Amino acid sequence: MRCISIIVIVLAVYTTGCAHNSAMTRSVAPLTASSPQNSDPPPLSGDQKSSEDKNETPGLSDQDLNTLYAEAEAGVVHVADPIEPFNRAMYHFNDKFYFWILKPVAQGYKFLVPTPLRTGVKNFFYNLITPVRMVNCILQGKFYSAGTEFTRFVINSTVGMLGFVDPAQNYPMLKAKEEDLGQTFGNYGIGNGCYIVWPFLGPSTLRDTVGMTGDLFLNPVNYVRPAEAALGITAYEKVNTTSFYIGDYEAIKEASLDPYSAIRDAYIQNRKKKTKE
Amino acid sequence: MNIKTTSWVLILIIFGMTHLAHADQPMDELKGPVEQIIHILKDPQYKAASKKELQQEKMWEIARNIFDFNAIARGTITRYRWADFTPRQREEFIDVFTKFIGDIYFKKIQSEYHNENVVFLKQEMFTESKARVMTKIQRGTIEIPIDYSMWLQNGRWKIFNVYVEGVSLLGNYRDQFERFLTNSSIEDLISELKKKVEQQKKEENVEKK
Repeated sequence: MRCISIIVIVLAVYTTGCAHNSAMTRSVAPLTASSPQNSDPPPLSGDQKSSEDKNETPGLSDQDLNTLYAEAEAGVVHVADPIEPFNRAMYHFNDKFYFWILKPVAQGYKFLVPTPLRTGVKNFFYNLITPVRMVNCILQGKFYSAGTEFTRFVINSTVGMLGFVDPAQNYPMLKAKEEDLGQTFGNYGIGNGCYIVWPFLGPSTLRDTVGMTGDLFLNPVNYVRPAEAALGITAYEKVNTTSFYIGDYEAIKEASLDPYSAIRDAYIQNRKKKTKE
Repeated sequence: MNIKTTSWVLILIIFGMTHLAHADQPMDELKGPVEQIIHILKDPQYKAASKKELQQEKMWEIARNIFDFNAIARGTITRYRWADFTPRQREEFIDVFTKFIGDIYFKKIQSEYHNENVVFLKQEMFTESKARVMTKIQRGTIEIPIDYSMWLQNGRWKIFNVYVEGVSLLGNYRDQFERFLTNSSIEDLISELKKKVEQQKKEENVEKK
């Protein structure tokens, strides 16, 4: 009995030891051979490639490189950009507009208006465009999500005092469904068309522009009369939203060699992700 | 006596089992460093502008352990372009690109960290040695989804790609560099990145004053 228990102890220690030492045993592996460190079958093309990859980055096996390439390629999404000169001009216009007008105004606004109030305003506008999200949920056949949006709207408009507070956010199942007409079209299998940069509105595509126009009809702000007032409200919303994102655009700009194309690719990828959801 | 030994054995086995079950989980390996970085960001001893550089160094130490910068840099250059790089250019590129992305992101989180929370959502295992960990940053009412592609290298899970709101870091730079290299030389790319890094340093020094 005692003998057995000792064996078991030794085994137990050994297995825990294994978990610890796996790092060490594995670290030896790449030195001995470029064989993969997991139980995957070795790549068949390994022998052929190894000669041409002799000068590859040290520490990365052929299989690692293949994984890396697959990952990088999956992240590249192309969009037609036939009106690039126009788009670049618009990009520069928006860039100047941001640095000369929008940013200083938003910064001043942020300084004057306390965060809870700004959050309240943001919530209010977000609640106001519930019809956009709800209708697009329905158009995509996501009836449960449409119900969620409806419930959110009822709770936030009443308990949440016209939407300034967002009590629904305390319930994970009431998470807002970010849907719009552009995504609905994408869901129907309609492609992006070409890339378009609009003054003030920023990056878009042919598809998303049509979608954006359609969504305007579902945004109550656009029914405010006179039209100048609606425009004023929209501008104010833009300032309020920007006050939460100051510094983000600057960081993207700093982080890229060509901000125009970096933003274009990022826009397309982000939209692709949203359409899939 | 017998009962005592058996119970010890049981304890050891259970301990061993749980230990095994938790070993080498990518999400767990990510949690530690992320929490360490948040800890450094919150630490009041780095509040002064003069301490920011030290704070960055501390963050670098942690980041180097969890980010596979070597692979990230490599993944931004296509295979046939890489063949044109001389060994010196390869080394230089990996070095300057690492500095470039590191400086930008550290500077950004340093200047804008306001007690945001990082929520670890889930992990998806693609193979035994490749996974994706989904997280989100909670900035007040704003959520920023950040996903990490991780692989097992020498027994440690390391990050080799990051998705911010669905935008792939590898994919984005790969496209940019490919476009840059169609019109300019490798040397131009390296010096352009160096210029960007120096610009960052300058801005930091201005802020310090």
